[in-house]
Amino acid sequence: MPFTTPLLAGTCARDCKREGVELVVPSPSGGRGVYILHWSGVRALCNPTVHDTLLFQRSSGLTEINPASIREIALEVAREGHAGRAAATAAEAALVYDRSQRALTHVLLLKGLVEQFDPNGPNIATLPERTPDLDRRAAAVLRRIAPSLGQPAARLETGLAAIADMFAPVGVASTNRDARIARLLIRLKAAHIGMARWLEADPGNDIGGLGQSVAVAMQQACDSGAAALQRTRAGLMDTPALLKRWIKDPDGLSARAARCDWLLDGWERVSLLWLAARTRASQRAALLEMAPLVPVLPREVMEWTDTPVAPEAMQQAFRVTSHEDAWRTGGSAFALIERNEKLLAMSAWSGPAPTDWPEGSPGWGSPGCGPQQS
Amino acid sequence: MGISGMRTSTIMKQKPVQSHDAEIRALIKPIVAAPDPKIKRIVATVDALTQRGPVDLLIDPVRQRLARIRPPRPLRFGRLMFYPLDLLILPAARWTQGQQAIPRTALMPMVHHVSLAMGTEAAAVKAEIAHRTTADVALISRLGQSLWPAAAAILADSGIPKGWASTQLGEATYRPLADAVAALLAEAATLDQLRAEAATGSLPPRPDVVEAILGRVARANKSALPMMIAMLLDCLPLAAALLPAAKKGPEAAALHAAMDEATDLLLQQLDQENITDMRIATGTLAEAGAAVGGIAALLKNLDKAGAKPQRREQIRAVRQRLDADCKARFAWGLQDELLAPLQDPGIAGSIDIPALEVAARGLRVLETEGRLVGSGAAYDRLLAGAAETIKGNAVLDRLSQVDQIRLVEILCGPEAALAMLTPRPARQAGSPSPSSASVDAPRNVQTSRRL
Repeated sequence: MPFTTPLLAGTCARDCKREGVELVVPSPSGGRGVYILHWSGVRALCNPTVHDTLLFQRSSGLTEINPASIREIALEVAREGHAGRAAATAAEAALVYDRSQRALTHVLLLKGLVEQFDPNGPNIATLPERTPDLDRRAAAVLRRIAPSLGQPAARLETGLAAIADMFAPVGVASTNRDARIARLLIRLKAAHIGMARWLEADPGNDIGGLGQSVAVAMQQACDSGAAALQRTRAGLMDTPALLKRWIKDPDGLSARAARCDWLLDGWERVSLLWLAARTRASQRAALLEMAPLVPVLPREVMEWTDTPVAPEAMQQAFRVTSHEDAWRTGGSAFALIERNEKLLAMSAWSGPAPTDWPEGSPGWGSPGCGPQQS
Repeated sequence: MGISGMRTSTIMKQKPVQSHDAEIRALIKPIVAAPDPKIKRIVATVDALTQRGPVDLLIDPVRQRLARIRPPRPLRFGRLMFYPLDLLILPAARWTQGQQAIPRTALMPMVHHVSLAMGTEAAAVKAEIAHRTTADVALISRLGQSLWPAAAAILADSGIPKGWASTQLGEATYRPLADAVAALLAEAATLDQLRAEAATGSLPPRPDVVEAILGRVARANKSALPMMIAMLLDCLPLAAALLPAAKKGPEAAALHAAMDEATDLLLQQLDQENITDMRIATGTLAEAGAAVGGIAALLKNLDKAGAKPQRREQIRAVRQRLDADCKARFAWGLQDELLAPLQDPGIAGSIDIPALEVAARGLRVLETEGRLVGSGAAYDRLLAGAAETIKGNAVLDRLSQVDQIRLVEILCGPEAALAMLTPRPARQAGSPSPSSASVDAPRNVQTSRRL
């Protein structure tokens, strides 16, 4: 959950059949174990911001809790301005960008379908734009394959739109660097490279080996994420097969599309903590914040990626204990909330990075928003 | 910050070594009486001189005011070199042989000497700091990491520099002063790193590093140890808890004596009229809050069991003054940086909301730290009044509902803000749109300040 209250860093949400949403809150001391709390328990622990209160209330209305649904409500709350104006602007842009990515994915699926079944027809425009010609030819193909799939063509059209929505964050083209998951991986890699270089330049930068351990976990997440992304995209080449799967098991297909999201869940905040730190002191302090937030890889990672993963990567590896909370309570909390709101803005941002953001930030070096790639 | 306002009683004990030029003395009186804009122009003119010499005396009487009016000070090579030792610099007229301080007139000959010895490296530093000011602390830290140790090495092994005679301090004074400055500058880079880490809130000073600093200074120049401890405690008050453990055996007695001298030096400085005010008047509201927190922590550590009654009385007086200065800074910060922009009829529609939020956060930081040294009733009253202004009809044309909610949240906490989450009547065209958010305010108002 992208909460802004400092004491709620690293908190996750989960469904509780009887009592709605439960929150899994890391032990505030940094010690072993977590608290499983309802909102009343959270309010006994700390004084959550308005942003966090609204985010929790929206999560209670979700039919399913997953990274994508949480992101969606987080963007809504941010867009309303409860995390500040920068986050509101970024959230608005992110929602527009998401729509453009869904439209782009839909066009690419239609193109793929036409190229597969009408290879001898006139060339399709190179630009991934929805044209009347593309619509006409795609509709013809769908009418052609509808009997073999046992569904009317209109239902298949609906299916294609649903598949586009599911897979837009992943992106269809293997070279797509602008899809959300691809951008997240780029950000994670930028953070990993930056941290590895920083540690190599002066081993004294590290704090008791914490940085090296976080860097290893980051590398593992990058590799697993890249493998999952590649594998997911490989399954998107055959549109009729996708439609078949959607007809047979739409939830299963949706779960497959969400694998990358689950695999990389939590890594964005860790990356941004690093990317937002600019001085040696703030980078060393960031290590202490990042380490307890390093996500545990899901048990399914080997099945999803076909890559070997050390068993310790699936257990919580880092604990940073503190004698007291002075660094994130009292006067310090105000700066941390502001920083967390800035991270929300950076996370949602989809355009070129503002000039005051560090190299490797979201949008840094990217071509900008909009369907520029194919 | 220099010890420019050293108490007269302290000053008069020692014989001044610097005689004032009559012409300059004649100019000082009108300068002291000059309004702030004129002071800024005079300082800018003096700052622009390549050779300062006795003209520096013109600025001495207004140094305390400079901190309050905050004119931009150009970042010169000398200012950068002596930046970490600012706490210890005194006007020459107030300095005596053997005093735990550095006379201002000694700076320029040392600076020229270091600059000449560094050659092209100094030229590179000068090129990088051209047109920059002392507000650029990141640049100061970065360049200082190499400049301070280099300057220390040069001063530790140098003959009397050219121009020393103009200081009128006497040749015999040079070597002990240069040795002390060298010993302190040699640790400045490490101290700056510790300060930067401590400022993050999560990296307290490391005992081994503090012990190493003190050990090196004690070996290099024992007489500089009190000044080193004063510098250490001034930027890292938490280090006070580490000092008793830093040495054992016979060395512990020497360290204890040095700590005592350093404590006197720091208290002497804090006990001056306006000094706490100066510290918290400088910089942003959040920086003022950090300064209050730093002084409060320092006082807490100096006010240890077994302290002499006179010292405890001195600490109590400083704490009282700090409390009053903090409240005054809070009140004018609230008025100037939050309420005045909100109520200025000339800026409706173009109000800088992020700046207001920065001011509101700064006020809360200052208030949180201020409560450590005094009562909180005044803050509560002022914050509640500010929240009422923000919620009032008079600002409806310049704040959206979400802007109001966020400002109230920062000033009075989430509970007060959540109570505002009900739609308000539609606005006229052209004004900011209200939030569509609506939520029931929690019934149980919490008093916890933990965020």
